[in-house]
Amino acid sequence: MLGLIDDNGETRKQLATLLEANGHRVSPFNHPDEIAPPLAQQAIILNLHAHTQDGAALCRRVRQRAPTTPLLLLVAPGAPLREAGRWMRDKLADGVQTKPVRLPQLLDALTPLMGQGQALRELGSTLPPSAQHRFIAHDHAATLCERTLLFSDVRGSTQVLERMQADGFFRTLNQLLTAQSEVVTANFGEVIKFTGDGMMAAFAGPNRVHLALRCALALQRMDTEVSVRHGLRVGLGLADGLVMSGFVGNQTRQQYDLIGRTVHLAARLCQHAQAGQIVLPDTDYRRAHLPVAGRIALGEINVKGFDRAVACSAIHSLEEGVSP
Amino acid sequence: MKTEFSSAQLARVIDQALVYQCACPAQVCSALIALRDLYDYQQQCLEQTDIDRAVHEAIAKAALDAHQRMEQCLEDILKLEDWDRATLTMPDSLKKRPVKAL
Repeated sequence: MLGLIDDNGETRKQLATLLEANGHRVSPFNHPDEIAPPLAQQAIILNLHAHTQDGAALCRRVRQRAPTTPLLLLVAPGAPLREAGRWMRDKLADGVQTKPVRLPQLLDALTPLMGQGQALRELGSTLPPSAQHRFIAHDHAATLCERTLLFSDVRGSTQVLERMQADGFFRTLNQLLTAQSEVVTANFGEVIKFTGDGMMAAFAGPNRVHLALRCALALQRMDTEVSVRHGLRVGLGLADGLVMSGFVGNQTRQQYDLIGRTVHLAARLCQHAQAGQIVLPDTDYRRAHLPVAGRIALGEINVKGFDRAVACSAIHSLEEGVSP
Repeated sequence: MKTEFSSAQLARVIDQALVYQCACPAQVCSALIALRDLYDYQQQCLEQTDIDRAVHEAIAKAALDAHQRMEQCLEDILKLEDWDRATLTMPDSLKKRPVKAL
């Protein structure tokens, strides 16, 4: 299956017809925002009309909507082609073909991209997007990076399990985790792993603390919606700092993970949070530049494994009071 | 370099041609873009010797001559193929050609 993005209806139809005549199934889109999960595309073609469109913004949008699907650009020669070269270097696209397109060359370019897309799709259920390309490239080296970690965890799951059948509990939990994952993705984070009845998400980039707190607030709002949480309440913990990223496991089974003091701190603060609460260090709250109502200073918290107490805040939901 | 067609206009012609089967005007546009790139490139080259200067002058003159001829060629073929010159819109008969060629 190929995705085809083209805001010109005539060229979109023309390209789709040519690709379908060569054995491809095509999902046509007018704009990247129309791409919706579950993503079935092995590769996406973006026919860029450079004189009317902001190509870099479109590529970024495709990456947000389909982070692991290889992207092939069709661009005019000259300045648009040179710009596309820059986007390739910035990892915003995976291939470029110059217009007018020679169909055999286009099909040749698609074959390896679709193979890569299929491999990434198969990895998609076990690895977060940022780790998939590294896994494919056999890049298993551990790296040090700055991330904001956000943990969510279901409160009182043992009591919930006592009043629910196991399969019903798993179904409900998976619905909750699916909804939480969508909120993480919408806030430009990625779910690193699911941790029993919770998850660990990471946020990168200069605005990562802001994005992580914004995501936590969205998850907190979701926690007040009875239709989403199905009786499960969550606590949330957040912390920013250096982490080690890499693959953990033995020779036959490995998983991508983030480890280090920041991960440990975020997990501990999540444990500290009550149902519907976000707990985070005061330093990270200030760095988030996102003033919120319902914040109370918790003072210094002794966190197991840390020599010094950490000054923290808790953010309560303003919509608290909704019946469980 | 004096131009009759802007870069955006050339890109518009290329965008509409899309695939190779009906791409003659688009190929001319591609050649024009390449000539403009060549002209710009030699303009930025170092001129440390008289030979450098002569080389760049020769390239500039040839690029300008070729560019002028190819722009006139584009003007002529757009007229022959009955493109809308104001909007640079491809005629409907040409749009259907690549699909019919399957």
